[in-house]
Amino acid sequence: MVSKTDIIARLQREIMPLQGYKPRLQPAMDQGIGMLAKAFPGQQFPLGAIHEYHCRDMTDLSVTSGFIAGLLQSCHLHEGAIVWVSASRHIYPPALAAFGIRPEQVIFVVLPGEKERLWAIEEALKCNAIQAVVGENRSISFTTSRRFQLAVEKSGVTGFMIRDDSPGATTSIAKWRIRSRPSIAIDQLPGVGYPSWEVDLCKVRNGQTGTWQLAWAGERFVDISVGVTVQEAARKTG
Amino acid sequence: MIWFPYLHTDLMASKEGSLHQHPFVLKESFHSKMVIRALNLPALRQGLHKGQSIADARAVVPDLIVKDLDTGTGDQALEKLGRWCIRFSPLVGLDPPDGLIMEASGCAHLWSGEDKYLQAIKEKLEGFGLTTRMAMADTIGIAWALAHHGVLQLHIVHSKTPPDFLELPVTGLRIDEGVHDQLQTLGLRCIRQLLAMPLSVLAKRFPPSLCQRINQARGEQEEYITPIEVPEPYVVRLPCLEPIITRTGVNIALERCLSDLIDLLQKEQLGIRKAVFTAFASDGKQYHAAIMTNRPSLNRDHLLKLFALRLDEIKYSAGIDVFLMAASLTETYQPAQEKIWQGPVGLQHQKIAEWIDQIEMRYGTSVVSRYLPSEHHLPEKAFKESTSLQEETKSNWHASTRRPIQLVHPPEKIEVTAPIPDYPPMMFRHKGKLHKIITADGPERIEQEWWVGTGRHRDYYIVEDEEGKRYWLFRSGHYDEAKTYTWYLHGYFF
Repeated sequence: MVSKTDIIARLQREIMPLQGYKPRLQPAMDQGIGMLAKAFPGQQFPLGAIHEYHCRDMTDLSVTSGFIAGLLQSCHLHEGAIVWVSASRHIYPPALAAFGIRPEQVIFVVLPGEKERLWAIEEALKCNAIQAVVGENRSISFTTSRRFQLAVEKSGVTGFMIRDDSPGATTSIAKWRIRSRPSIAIDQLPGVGYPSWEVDLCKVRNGQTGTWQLAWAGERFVDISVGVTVQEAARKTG
Repeated sequence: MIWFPYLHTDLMASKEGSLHQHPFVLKESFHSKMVIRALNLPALRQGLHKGQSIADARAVVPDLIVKDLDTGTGDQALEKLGRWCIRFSPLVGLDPPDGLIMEASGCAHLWSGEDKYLQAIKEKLEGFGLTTRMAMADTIGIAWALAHHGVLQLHIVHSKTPPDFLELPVTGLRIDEGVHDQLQTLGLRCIRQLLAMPLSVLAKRFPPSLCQRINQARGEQEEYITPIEVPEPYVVRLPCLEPIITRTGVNIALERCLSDLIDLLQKEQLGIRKAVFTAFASDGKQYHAAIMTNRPSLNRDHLLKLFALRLDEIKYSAGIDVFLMAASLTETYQPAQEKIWQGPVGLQHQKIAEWIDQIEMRYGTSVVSRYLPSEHHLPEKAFKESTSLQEETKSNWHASTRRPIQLVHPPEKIEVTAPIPDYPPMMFRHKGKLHKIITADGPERIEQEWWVGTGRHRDYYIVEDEEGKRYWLFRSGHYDEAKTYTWYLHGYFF
């Protein structure tokens, strides 16, 4: 007997490629983002697609950059070439080492002009030798997002677009808001502990939106919203 | 060898058209008298010659026009002509005061034959109003002699001792006056007589320069051209039958030159790092379109794309006679390399290099950067820009030291309230906003590197405010009564 839900699930799987998202062969993900992956169709964190991150100010930009750096590592994108396109030199390369990314694997492109920047991002998204592209731009129009979408459908590059918090429809597979929250003490020691974020997946195509509280425990994400302490979570996998 | 027998007078006449048919000389003062230094053909026909005094010349030709000689303009013009001639051969040397020496090997076939090659050069130069005498021979010595003293206006000879050459006067050997006079006294008038004598005999009586010239003419002693411009080792040239005056024409020329250059380099297993596409316009101007790549490349489509971005620099309205493409920087290129790196991983992929090339060609090389660790304690100096994609790290990144993901450069001044000296601050004010600090780590003292620069040490604190935002602050200098220290915000943590 084929149940109704099975049929719907199968149909959804058939529709997805038509909508432009082809799940690509993915390496085993770190458990750290397992809970994030559940929100997406096929329980798979979508690579080869465009993710959008909405930021309000410099601190938002910092935590978003940190979160993306963590994602790059968790999705094993950091082993290849990463491209970071921004309007100014503000990322401090040595900090990426904290996320297991070798900073020398990252090519930084600084272009103050918006048109030039969008062009560089699009060209990078088209280049299948690149693993991931992080692009910063104030806003992304629907047309631009569609161009980006077409580029990644062909190349399989994963794009992370950092933009302002203005509304507007785009074709991105997911929209995120990353906000800082108090750090998690390491072994109950005083001082600033593991960085922690409020991760809000506010829009996702064919998936479930959700909110998580995540911390970066040295080399992986840890979900702290479920009430486990970081130490326990770390021990479970250790 | 191209000789301009009337270089100075031709130049003068091209400025003043009326001088063409009229006997006309250029004078220079020599031993307190005015002598003829250059004269045109009508003057020569009237029986005047170089070195004659002006007074004598005026007696022969009463309506002689006399002007001052300016050797500077002649030298400049000769060099300009030399540069112009690069379109015909990569190796052009000057033979002052009025000749050019060109290495024609491997050039003539592009004009389908030596005859047509010389004719083409001659016609162009005559178009500038210059009288030329040209000779092409196995050695510079023979060509020089034939150009200066030969019967014909164009000589092409292919033998070690061509008969035309043997009958020429000994002056054809580029010898100085003293030697010449000495030879005349001995009755040695033509080159044949001189060559018949054993060199050892000549060496005893004459300065070594004579033997050297004889050997050079015979090809027994190497003679080198000192080129005006050192030619690139990998060059292709494309002469056009008719001047090119359209963009399409330039595009076709570009494609053909590039294909030829790639073929040439492929044989040598070299790839292009830098290349220049040069167009020689009919009005004597040159236009260049230069490209560079991050990895040696022979990818025709990619290189064409790069050239296309620079093609506006070639102005074709005056008509382009010759196109030239030179690989000014090449590196070993292994085609197999591309296959090995076909996998998705790694910066070494050709496609990444090509993507960077495109950005750099459009917006300059400064917009793309890659960083390597640098052994410095000061955070703003802890990394350096890498010069190439291939450069490997020599030292390690310090992943364990906590550093902000964004560095504020230069650091921004803040107002801070700290309870006790050397304790983390309680609150700070940045851009008018008050941040209450909940937890903090520090201090981490970073000293100035005295061998690099001077300045005060910094005590860094990682602080977290009530919103959970994390900052990197530092105090520059010690706590003291006079409050000479300053607090700064230096970064944002993730």
